[in-house]
Amino acid sequence: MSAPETVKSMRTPLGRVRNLGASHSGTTDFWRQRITAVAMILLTVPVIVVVMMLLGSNHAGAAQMLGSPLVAIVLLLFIIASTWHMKIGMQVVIEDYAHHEALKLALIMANNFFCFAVALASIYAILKLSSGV
Amino acid sequence: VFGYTWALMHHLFSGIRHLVWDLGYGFKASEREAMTWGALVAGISATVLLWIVAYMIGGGQ
Repeated sequence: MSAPETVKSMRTPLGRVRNLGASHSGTTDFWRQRITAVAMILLTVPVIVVVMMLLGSNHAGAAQMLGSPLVAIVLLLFIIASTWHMKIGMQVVIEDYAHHEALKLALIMANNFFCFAVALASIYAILKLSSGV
Repeated sequence: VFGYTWALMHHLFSGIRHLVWDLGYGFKASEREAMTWGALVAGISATVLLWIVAYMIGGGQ
């Protein structure tokens, strides 16, 4: 330590920063946002192909195609990546622009509920088509 | 839906631009300008292209 310490601390430098930061989670969300972004870049082409293949098909044909294993897995991956990306992105906007603490927490909670509901509804739909019920 | 496609496509290409910056490339003024215009043009082009293909496959339905 170069600077003279007036108060002796037993905490390590890592221990001091751990669990700090405005979000209390460090750079986890930053990294997750990059992972989901790259995942969606890779998934963009297959998802567009699936949507294009759905054009002109009737309800039964569309249901059968969306329920086939490969299509269902691609769509499930895209749903997970996109709703996660959406949740983090909206949370960053809320954290930056909602200045009232209680309002901010309420909005973050609402955002979590919304994104989770969208994700679960989409996943449920795909699984329902896959199981053929 | 056409506008939403453009929004998604523009987000996609601008996002790739930001990933390139994250990797530490393209910080010169000319490169920044080029990538920003590139993302705008690519987003519009991809949107128009996707809808042309969609109408071709859908047969104008």
